[in-house]
Amino acid sequence: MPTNSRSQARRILIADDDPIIRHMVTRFVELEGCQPVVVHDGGAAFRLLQTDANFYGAIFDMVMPHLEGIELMRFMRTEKRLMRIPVMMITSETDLKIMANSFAAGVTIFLPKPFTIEQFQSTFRLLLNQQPEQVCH
Amino acid sequence: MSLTPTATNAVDLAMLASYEEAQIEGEPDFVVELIDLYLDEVPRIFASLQNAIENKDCATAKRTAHSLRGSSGNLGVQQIAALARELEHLENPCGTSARELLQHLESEFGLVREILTAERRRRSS
Repeated sequence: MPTNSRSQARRILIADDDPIIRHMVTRFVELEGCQPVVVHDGGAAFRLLQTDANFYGAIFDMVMPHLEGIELMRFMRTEKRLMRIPVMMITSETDLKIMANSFAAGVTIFLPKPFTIEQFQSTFRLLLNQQPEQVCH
Repeated sequence: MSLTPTATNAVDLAMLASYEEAQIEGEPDFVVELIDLYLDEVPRIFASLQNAIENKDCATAKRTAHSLRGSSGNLGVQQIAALARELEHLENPCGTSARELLQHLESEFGLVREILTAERRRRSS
């Protein structure tokens, strides 16, 4: 369980159009003591990021309607206030070219589907290692 | 309910049970929540696939099959994940083969629904 209150917890942006994966990731982020901020697709994440940069990390699905994870990524890396936010990309893609393009666009780390809780936790902690303070609480 | 070998191959119940680790005391049963979400979502996905195939919207058919593969794989619904993968990677994901695969998916989902409903009942009792 999170040990800190929601108001103090570090915010993690989650964008995924799949309600099952979204529900899982939201819970796993809560268990890490962070505050999930959840949107249902890339377009909603894009609109939110226009006015809100207060995120300790972000988790995007690679394939989403309206705006795919990699396009969102490219936008974030061109905006000074967003470019330091580390991004985990969740994907079932195994195409190395797509992975290489995603790293080139600025993705910090990948989490391949299917994933277990343990795999999520390890990847998430590596993602947060990109920040000066490495835990959410 | 006694599970046939086909049924036990259809859903990896151990994988599903691994999400018990994410249960928070006092909150609704997390595994039951996942089952309910899946049972609600899959018919919607099939309708979307059907629509995409009928309208020759191959990009939507491919993306929808991709989404079905991801959520099914993560819940341990292996046969559906494998069929969705096959549909996603068809050269023409909105043609005749896609239509046949969708029928196969719907038939497989009948079995999966029985297994997941039984598992849900067991967890809720």
